[in-house]
Amino acid sequence: MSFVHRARQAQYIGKPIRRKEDYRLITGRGLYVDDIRLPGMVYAAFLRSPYAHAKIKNIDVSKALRIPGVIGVYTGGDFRGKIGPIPTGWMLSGADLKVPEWPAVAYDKVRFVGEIVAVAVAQDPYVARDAIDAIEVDYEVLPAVVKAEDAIKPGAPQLHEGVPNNVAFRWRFKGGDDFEDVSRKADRIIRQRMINQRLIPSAMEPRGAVAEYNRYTDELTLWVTSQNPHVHRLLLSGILGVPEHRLRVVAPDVGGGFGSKIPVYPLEAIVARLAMDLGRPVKYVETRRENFVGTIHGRDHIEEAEAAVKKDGTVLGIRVRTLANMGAYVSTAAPGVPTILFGTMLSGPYRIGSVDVEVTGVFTNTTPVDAYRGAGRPEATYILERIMDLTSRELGIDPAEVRRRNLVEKAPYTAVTGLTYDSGNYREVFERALKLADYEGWRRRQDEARREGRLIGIGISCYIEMCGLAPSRIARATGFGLGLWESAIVRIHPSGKVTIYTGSSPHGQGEDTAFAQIASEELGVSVDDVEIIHGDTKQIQFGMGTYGSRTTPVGGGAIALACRKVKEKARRIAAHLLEAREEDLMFEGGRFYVKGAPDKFVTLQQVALASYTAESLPPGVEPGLEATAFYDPENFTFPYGTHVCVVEIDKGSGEAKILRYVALDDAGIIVNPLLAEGQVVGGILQGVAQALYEEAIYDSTGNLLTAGFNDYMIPTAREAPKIESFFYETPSPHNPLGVKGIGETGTIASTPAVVNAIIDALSHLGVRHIDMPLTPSKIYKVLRERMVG
Amino acid sequence: MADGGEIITIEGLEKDGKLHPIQEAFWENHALQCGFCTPGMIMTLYDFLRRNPRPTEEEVRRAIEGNLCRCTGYQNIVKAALWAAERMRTGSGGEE
Repeated sequence: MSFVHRARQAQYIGKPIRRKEDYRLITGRGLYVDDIRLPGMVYAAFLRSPYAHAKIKNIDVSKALRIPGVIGVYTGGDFRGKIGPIPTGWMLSGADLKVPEWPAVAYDKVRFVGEIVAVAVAQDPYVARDAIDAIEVDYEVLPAVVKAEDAIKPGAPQLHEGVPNNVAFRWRFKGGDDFEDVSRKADRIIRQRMINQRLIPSAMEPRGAVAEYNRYTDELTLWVTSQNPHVHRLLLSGILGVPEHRLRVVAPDVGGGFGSKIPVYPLEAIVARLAMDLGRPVKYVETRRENFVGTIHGRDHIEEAEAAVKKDGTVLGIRVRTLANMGAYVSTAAPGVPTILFGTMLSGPYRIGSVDVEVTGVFTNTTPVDAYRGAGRPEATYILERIMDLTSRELGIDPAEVRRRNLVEKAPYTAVTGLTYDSGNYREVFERALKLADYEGWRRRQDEARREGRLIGIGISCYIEMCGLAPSRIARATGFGLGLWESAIVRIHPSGKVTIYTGSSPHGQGEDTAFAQIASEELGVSVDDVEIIHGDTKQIQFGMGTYGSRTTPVGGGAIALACRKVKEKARRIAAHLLEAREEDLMFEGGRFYVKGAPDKFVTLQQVALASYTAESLPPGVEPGLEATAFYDPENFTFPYGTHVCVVEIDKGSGEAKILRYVALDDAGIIVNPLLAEGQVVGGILQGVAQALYEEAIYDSTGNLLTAGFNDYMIPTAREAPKIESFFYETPSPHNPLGVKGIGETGTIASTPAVVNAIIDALSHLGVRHIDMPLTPSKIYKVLRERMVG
Repeated sequence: MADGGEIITIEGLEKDGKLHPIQEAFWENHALQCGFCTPGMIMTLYDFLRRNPRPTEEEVRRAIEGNLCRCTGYQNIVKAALWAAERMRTGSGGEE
C-alpha cells in the first residue's frame, strides 16, 4: 500500500488499522445464515425447473408426502395470493419498461432452468431433498431462446404475454453534439462489435434465509444473506402483506455479495411465508449448483460501438447500440444497471463531445441478470478502453498518446452526459501510473521480445466511475424506487463509549473498522471504544445498504455528520461546565478546552456523563448525548485512475501470463489503506477473471453448462497475479470526509487493461479484437491461424 | 475411517487465549474480508506448514489452490502464510 500523493494527515483516518471484525472470523465465531439453528426449526428444499421454457401440466406430490419426516410439499398454486410477485425496485423511466409477473413459485409456466417449481419442508434438510426428488412434474417443453440477439428476431419463442419480441425496454440517451454531425467532421469511424459476456457472481457463501414467526409478539424475523436489509424488509412487507414494522430483517455475517445479495428473491419470501403458516422456524440455504442457476448473473451485453475520431487521435463522439440480456424476469435493480449505470459513463475520463447510446433490454430463458460488482460501469469502461486501443491501431499512434490527447484536463468537469466529475488530477495520475509501471521500458522490452519471437503486450486502462450512489433527486428521476441517502445514529453512553447504528450493510468490506476510524477522528475516542451496529432492521433506522461503492462515502459521510451534531451538543454542555463561551472552546484529542488555557478542559466522557446526570445542563439542552443524520449527497463521487498490465503469451499453449500489474487509483481520502488495498486487489482479480477465465455458457436449449466450479472457472491462488496498488488522494469536495469510494474500481479498470495487453501482444499479427474470456484455447487458435511455423 | 484420529478445527487453534501464528498472520496481513473461506484457508495452511515449514510463495499458492476465495485476490493470504511460516520457525508465535 503506497501513496503517490496524500491530501492530509489525520489521527485515525488514513491509518492501516487491522480489522476489528477479524478476531471472530479467524477463530470460527462468524455467524452466517447457515449457522443459525433455532428450536423446532425445519428445513425447506426447492424443486427447480430442469427446462428453460415449459408449461407445467401437472405436479404429483403424493410420493413426496409419504416420505417419513416430510412436513409439507407445496406448489405454485399453494402460494398464489399468499406471496405477491417479486417486484423490481428500479422502474426505469422513459423506456417503456415491462415488468411481467415473476411468481415466487411458478404455477403455469417456467422460464429458466433453476426457476422454483415446488417446495418441500421436512424435519431434516436431507429428507427435504429426498422429498424434492420424489415430486413428479409433467412438463410440456416449449422452444427456448437464450441469446438476446435471437430473442428479438421475428418468430422467436415469446417469454411473457404483453411483451412483444421479448423487449423489456428500450432506453435512449444522448449527450452533447449529434453523433452524425461529429461523424462528418471525423477522419475515421472506428467500429467494433464486442461481447461483454455473462458472469456469475459466485460469492463464497451461497444465499439463504431463516425465518421465525413469533405468535406472541406477532413479529416475523428473517435472517437473510442481504446487502440491504431495510430494502429487503420494505419489499418483502409488500410481497407478504406483513406490516413493515412487524417484520424484522437481519443480515448476520454475510459471506460476500458482489451485487448478488442486493435483490429480493423468491427464496426469502417462501421461507417467510412457510414460517408463518407452519408456526415453526424454517431454514433454506442454496446448494452451490442452485447458486449458479438461482442467484442473479451479471453483464451479458452485445455492444455495437462506433467512435468518430480525428487523425490526431481525438475522439469526437461515441455511439453504442447495446443488447442487454435481462434473463427471464426483471430483478430488483436490473433495469438501471445496463442503462443509467452504463450509458451515462460512456464519456469516461475523456473529453468526448457526443455520446449516443441505445440499450435494448431483452428477456431470454436464462437466469435473471442484475448488478454484479461494477454494474454497468465495467461494461462502459470496456467499450471506451477498447475504442482507445483500436483508435491507436487505426492511426498508428501509441495507445498512451491517444489517451493523453483525450483525457479530461481538470475537475470539476461536466461531461456531455450531464455528470459533473468532482475532483481529480486526471493527467497527473495517468502519467504517474505509466511511470510506476515503467511503460516506456516495457515498450522497449516488447520490441526486443518480438525480435526473439516472444509475445509481450502492454495494456492501459483509464476509468472514471460514478459512485457513492446517491443523490436521491437523481436516483428518483431515473425511476429508482427510493432515495439514495444513508443514515447514522451516533450514541455516546454515560461512560463515554460509543455505539453507531448505520444503515449501510457491509458484508466483508471491513466497515466496522473504517467506520470506527471515522468516529474516532471526529470524536477523539479510541477505535476500540466505538461499536458499529449494522444489518438489523429492528435495531437500526431505515438505511439503504451496501453497494455501488457507497458505503464509506455515503454511510461514512452520515456517521461523520452525526458525530458533528453530537459534538455540537457536547460543546454546549462543555461550555456550561467550564463556564466559558462556546466559541472559545477548542476540541482536540477527545477533550474540550478553553482557547489559550489547555489545562482548563473537560473530556468528552465527562460531558457524556454530565449529559445523563443532567442536573447541570445549559438552558434548553435536553439530557442524553446522541444524534441522527441522514446524509443525502449533492453529487455522486467520481473515483478514477489508470491501470497498466503487462502480459506475455506462451506461444505453445496460448496462455496469457500477467508479468506486471500496476494500479494507481484516486478514490479521494483513504480511510484505511489496508482495507482499500484489499478492495482494489480483490476487485482487480475479479476483473482479470472476466478477461481471462469466466463465462456463463448456455446450450441452445437453455441449460447452463457452467453450473459448477469445474466448468465456471473462478481463479485460484495459482492464477492470481501479483498486484501493485498505489493511491493518489484528491478529496471529493462535496463529501464530508473527502471520500469517493473504492469497492468497484479494481473490477472496472482491470478487464480492459488485461484484454488490451493481450491484443497488444498479438497486434503485429494483425489481431484487432478477440472477445472475452481470452482463454488459452482461444488465443492458441488465433495464433495457429495467424502464425506460420 | 477417522477412528482414533485427531481432528482439529478452526475453533481449536487458539490455545490459552493465544492465537495460533496463522490466525495472527491472517489478522495482521488483512488476509480475509467476508471471512467465509477463512477457516478453510487457515486449516489448510495449518496442515501444509507442518509438512513444509519453509515454503516458497509458489508452494503456498499450490497448497491453497483447492480453496477458493472471491474477496481478497489471494495476495494477502499468501503473504500471511509466508509471515506465519517465518513466525513458526523462529518460535515467536504460539505454536505448541
